[in-house]
Amino acid sequence: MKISKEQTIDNQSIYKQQGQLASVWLRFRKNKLAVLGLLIFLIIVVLSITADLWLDYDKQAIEHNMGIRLQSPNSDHLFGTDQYGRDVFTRIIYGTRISLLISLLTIVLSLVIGGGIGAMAGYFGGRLDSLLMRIMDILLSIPAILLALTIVAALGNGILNLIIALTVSTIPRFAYIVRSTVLTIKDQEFIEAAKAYGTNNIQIIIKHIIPNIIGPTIVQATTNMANTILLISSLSYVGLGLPSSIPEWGAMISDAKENMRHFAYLVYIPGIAIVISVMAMNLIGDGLRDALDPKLRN
Amino acid sequence: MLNFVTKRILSMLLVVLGISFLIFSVMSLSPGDPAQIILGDGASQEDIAELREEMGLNDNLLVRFFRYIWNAIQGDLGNSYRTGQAVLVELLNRLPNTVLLAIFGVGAAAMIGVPIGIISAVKQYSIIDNVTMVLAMVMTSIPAFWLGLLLMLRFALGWGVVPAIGVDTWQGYILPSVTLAIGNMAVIIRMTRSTMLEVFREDYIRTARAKGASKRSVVLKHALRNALLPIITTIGINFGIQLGGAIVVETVFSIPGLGTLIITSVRQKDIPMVMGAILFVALMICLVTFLMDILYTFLDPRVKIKKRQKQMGVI
Repeated sequence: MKISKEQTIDNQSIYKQQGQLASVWLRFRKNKLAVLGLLIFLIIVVLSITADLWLDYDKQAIEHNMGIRLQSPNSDHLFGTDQYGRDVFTRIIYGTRISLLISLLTIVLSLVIGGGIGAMAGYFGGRLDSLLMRIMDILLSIPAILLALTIVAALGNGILNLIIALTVSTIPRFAYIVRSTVLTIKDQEFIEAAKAYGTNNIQIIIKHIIPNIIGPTIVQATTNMANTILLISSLSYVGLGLPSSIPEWGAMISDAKENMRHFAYLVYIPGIAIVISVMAMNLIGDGLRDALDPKLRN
Repeated sequence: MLNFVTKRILSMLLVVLGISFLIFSVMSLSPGDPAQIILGDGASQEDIAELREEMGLNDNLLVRFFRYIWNAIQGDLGNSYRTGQAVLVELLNRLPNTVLLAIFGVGAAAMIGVPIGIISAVKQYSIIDNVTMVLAMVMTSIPAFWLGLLLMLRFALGWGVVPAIGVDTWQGYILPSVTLAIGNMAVIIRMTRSTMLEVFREDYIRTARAKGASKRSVVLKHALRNALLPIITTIGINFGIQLGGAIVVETVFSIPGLGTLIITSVRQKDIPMVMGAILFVALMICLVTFLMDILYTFLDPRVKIKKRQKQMGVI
């Protein structure tokens, strides 16, 4: 009993010395699957950033080259070529760039807007709270794909419109999570204590509210990024996301449908790319949730 | 109770009204003149102007919206710009396919997912549990359209045991239902597992164990009964989402349901059809959520106790 008590004190002091970030990392590291997810994610990021250095976008991913169309995977074309003779490997790598960029922008935008809405609703409460949250209710009660579809339909295809559509359907998720976190924090003793010490509102928000929101929001962001990648490919598959000239995974699968019976690899490969990247994000999200969970901390 | 039901119905109607207004305004942003779409490219400017006047397209957004809602309440969702057919008739034609798919997909997912979730929770951190959780993770990460294509490649195009597209025979429902079931199953497994784990930590479970109840009775009688409500709610919500969210799966297997109707209407800028379909889907989703709420209040004695306490002025 005595030993274990000393150990916990010891552990706590270690956490304190190393700071919060280090202690989160310490717990995250214990989850092997989460680390695997992070590793995969880092590889995807590196591939998408460096793609221009070793691949020729225009020549291999865009230009039609009917002479070498529908070649099965071989040493020249690792993942084969599609019905227009474009190199599938190059398109998959550039696909990471499209998916990451669009989902990242979507998450950042909806985090800022949704988080702002949630924070305002939670902090000020009252009529503003019920008005804002009813609007969020409305947005959330339509399946995300349906909402995104309608917006893309109204605005037209294209990357910018796709980002707007995805953002609108993701905003309520951040609004809810930030609002509920703000609500639980705002009446706690340490905020009252800070107020009693004469700390002003801005300092309270920066020093006490924001650091407490970061955890749950990051978890929400990673899982939502996974969902957004799925949404992008689904919308492109039904022909309302990105045009098939852009190397996007869902659009590639949609393109490959006609020849799928004889050239199944054209369907398999982009699908595997989607599953791997979505799973990496989900694993990271799960690991972070466990690592940041304050219940496990005690 | 009656008060609660009325309140819920009112807030549900408000949400549906909100959704309709949102979709209505978004659709009105879309380029292209409806009068032009109806009359075709060869129409003269005068004809188009006349039709615009006749359809009331020159009124402002709010006027048009409330006229639409007023008609919708009377059962008139307008006519398709493309076929001229009444929107409601087309929706009702397509509804059975979508509902059947949702019942098969979510039903199968629940029947398999709930037992797996319970086993996973009982044997927490065992190999079975770990494998289940990884599988559930994989299942949530697979895009439904891709899974559908894979199943189609193997079972329809490869072995030819089921039709690849359409629902002319009952076999046509198999692949789309399986596709939907796998996606839903992951959610149900995770929810069942986490709810059961939560319930296992409750005092009454310890009491039941302490008084010597068998493990089987503790899990199935004491724990499952208490965990069932959130699980049923998850299943219900998934069912609701499936009514509008099976768009992708319906597209993959070319099933004439609400999903494919929405996609084709969106592509053809058939605004009344899109509006009607989404309004319809939203109404159904809200209705399912509402029924879940009512069920919750009826089944959970704690909600009733709270109400009694409220009546007695305890809280």
